[in-house]
Amino acid sequence: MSRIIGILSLAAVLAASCRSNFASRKPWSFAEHIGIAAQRSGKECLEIRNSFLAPDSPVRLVNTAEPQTIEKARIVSRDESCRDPNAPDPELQPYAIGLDQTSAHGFAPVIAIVNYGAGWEEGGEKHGGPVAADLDGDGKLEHFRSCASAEGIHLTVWTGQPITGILRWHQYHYLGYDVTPDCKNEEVDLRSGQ
Amino acid sequence: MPLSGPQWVLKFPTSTSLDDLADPFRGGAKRFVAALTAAHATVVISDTLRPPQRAYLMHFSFAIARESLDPASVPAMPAVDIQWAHADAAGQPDLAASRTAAEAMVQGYGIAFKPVLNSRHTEGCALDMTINWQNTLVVAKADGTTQTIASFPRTGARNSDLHLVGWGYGVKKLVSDPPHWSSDGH
Repeated sequence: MSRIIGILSLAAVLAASCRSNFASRKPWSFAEHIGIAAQRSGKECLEIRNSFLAPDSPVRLVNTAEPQTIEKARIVSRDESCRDPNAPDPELQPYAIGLDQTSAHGFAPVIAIVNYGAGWEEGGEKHGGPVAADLDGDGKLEHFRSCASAEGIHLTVWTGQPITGILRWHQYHYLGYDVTPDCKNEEVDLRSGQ
Repeated sequence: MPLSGPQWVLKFPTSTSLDDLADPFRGGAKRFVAALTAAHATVVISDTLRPPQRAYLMHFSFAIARESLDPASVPAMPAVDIQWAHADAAGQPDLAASRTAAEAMVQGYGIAFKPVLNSRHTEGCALDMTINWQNTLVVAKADGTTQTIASFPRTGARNSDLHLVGWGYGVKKLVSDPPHWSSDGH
């Protein structure tokens, strides 16, 4: 009997411990785990609101140009030459990254994700749809989008469908030349999505 | 006439000087930047005038290389004596060489999206600048009074109080592009 009571007590302690760990577990941060990768000064760079990315950390790149595709990369090092002097957010941290294969996105900026989980829908012509992934593990898929403003690109991540879903992340990339804008208001509100 | 190719990329560079802007925007921009500097804001100017010749070279190199535009159909531009259509040894049109040269220009400029021919920058009526400050900003307004800005964020991109001060100088914010200010907000 005392053995049974002991086992039950231990189980209760473990259960409480598990609840405690679950409750204190930090939710997946869109702001800290998503940034923009783009070529700068002849190298592939990442700017992200995260100071703690170790060399060799995996990075997944989502090219939002149709058909959407994924590339794989790794953190090389912190690199101040990757800092964009026109970035509106001084908290963005610059890193050099290395792509596993030759870059397929050229000079176009792409969405870069670190500390990502499984369950990606690859997108692209082979898969017949856009890239999607449940980034924060809430059972709902995130989708990726970009649009042009007068001289920059707005990259966004949405839970649900772009524009009509919930905006979870937004970052601007300065091009330095003028293009034809095609953004909707929902995509360029710099106060949203962070 | 010189053939198209990467040697053109270094010609007609984008200016970072306020002196290259067109009046009356130039005067307002200089006074606004001077007021910000006097108020101890950090101002970094990245682009002012984007020469129309540069926009022309970027636009048509992209169109030839990526959109199959016939190089012989590109309109001429005064003061840009570029020959877009290359010829082979027999003097016949060499479309492949024309596209290769145009693509080298696209790579040299680092173009990802089709550049437009005309903008406030090519008119000298826009500037791109990053503005930051510490603590409360006390800045001179165009009418000679001062404006105290205690609101956040302390950046030119997103502080609507600073946008109103710029408006008084005729320097208007385009909110969708964080560094961009112009004569009419476009």
